[in-house]
Amino acid sequence: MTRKDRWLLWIFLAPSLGLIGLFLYWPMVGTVIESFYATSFISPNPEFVGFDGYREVFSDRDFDDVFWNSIAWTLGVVVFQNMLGFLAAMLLNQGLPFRGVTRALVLMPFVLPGVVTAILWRFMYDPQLGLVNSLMIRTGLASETSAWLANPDTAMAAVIFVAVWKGFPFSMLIYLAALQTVDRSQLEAATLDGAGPLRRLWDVTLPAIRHVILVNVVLTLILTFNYFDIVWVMTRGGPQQATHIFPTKIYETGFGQFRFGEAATYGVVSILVLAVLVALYVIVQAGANRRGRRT
Amino acid sequence: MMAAVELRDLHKTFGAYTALERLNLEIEDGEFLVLLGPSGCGKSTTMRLIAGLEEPSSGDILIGGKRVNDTPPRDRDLAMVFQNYALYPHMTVAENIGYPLKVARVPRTARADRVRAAAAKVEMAHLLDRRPGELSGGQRQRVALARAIVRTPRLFLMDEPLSNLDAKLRTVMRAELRHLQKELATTTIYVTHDQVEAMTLADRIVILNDARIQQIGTPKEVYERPANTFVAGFIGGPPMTLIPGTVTADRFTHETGALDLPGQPDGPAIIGARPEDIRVTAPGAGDLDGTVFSSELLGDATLLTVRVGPALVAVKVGPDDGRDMDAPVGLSLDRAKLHVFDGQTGQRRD
Repeated sequence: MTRKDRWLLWIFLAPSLGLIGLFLYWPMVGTVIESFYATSFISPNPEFVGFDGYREVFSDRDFDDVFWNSIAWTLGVVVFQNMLGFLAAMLLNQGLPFRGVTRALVLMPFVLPGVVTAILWRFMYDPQLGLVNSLMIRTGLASETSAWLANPDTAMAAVIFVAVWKGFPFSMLIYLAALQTVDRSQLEAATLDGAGPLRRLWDVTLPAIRHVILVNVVLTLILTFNYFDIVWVMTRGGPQQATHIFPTKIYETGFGQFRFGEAATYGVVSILVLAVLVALYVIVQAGANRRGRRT
Repeated sequence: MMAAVELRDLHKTFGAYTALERLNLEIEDGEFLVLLGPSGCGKSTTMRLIAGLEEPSSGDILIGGKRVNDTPPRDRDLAMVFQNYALYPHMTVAENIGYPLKVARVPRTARADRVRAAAAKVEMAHLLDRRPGELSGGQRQRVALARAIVRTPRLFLMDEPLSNLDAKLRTVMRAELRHLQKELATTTIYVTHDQVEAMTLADRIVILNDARIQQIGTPKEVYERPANTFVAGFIGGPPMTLIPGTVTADRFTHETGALDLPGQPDGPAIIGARPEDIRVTAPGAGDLDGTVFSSELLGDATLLTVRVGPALVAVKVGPDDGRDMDAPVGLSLDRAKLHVFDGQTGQRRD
């Protein structure tokens, strides 16, 4: 490539790089800058406070709540969504009757919009009218109704359950595709070698799709950490902050209380966590690609 | 341990498709039996039924005199070598070979000894730490064999194990396989569509077509006395020439001529002659006349393909007896080695 070609290359690339920078990275840079200012609704002129904003946020109990809630929320959803998705994929990978119809039905929660899902489940959890309480009482699992979303001890578990319900078909789809690539003759060889179903799963199936599992887990970590609509519509981060996670806290602080500087500080922490997760994803994906090239 | 195998009225359908039609077969203890046939003939289905990887629609499978229809594959005490080897890619050669022993909870030290012994038998002892991805096709094949022999099963099943190897390696592995089987004296059922493999390896060959057995016999028997035109055309390379015609008063008349055929009933018939049982004569002096279509030197012989009417007839002649293309020749059929089949059923007449 000559020097002229190189210039030409950059000239052609410049418009798209400019647009990417403007729409993708400038908001992030803007957030970082914003986090060094204190802004509020009653005094709209931003005041530079440097790292004071961070010190304030980190020493606040709210931050601890949001941080630990985010971890519980993310891990809870990722673990159960992947486990349930894998189990469903295993089941659908068997020669079940009406497999096509079953597959379509299982996918239903995934295609519902998040807000619709949240409203639907708010009704389901309703202490007076909800199906959940009614079912639990009828089956003898509970003797009286519970306000699942109003009780700080149960609210997080309740929203995690809904996110898993909505998200597991996504994991299932990916696992199902992966399971269909497992060499059938390897499974048959293991059967003849004396391995039972669990042993075959452990010794043949899981090693064959372990990169897909890793990529799927990291991908769902990123998606779940960023989740907003279900939690916001169901609980608005409550009760008593019990379900406040980074996205809901940022939204509430910024657009509910107009404390943009503080919201931006939460945003920067959130970006840092996501950067770590994205780096993890890139590493895992690169490993999977290397494996793909070898086989 | 006795491992005679008996299949009684074994029948298998997949929906409306019949893969195997009431098959009856007895395989002796220690025998090397080859199931031979074209794609879709039912040979792999037969093997998978014996292995327990498929369930029969009806009929019985007996191994060592015991009915095993309801016995799960792992309790049938058999090992299988797959066409694509089916090695576990994330395990080393040693782990692959030792896997059946690990599953059977054989202690680690005993396992290592047996893995080394099995690997040594197939000359793979120096590559125990490699993974399958780092091995050549032939080496993978040996690992698959070692995995099969490591736990000394009473029955080996081999599903086209040499078909992914190149021609030269296949010849070498064929000899090694035959040697190994005789040395271990383990009953072996081997599936292939390659008639050369079947002829060279088998104690007996079972030829299948359209889900049915066409003939059972030693390689010599099926070559010298094929039971029908399918077997005649399938066994032998190049295949037997089959000429349809009609017998009238001890004379066989076909599209381009006639020849004496005493002792055969009148009616439609098909005669067959192997390439080595046909002699080239001067034009007009033989039973058939034609022109040379091609002449191929094979090294120890020359294969002449002669166009007789619309048909091509393969003739094996000496290495120096090649002919020019389009040269007119006569062909004389060796009467003592002529095969006669019924014109309607295709079954052998004598």
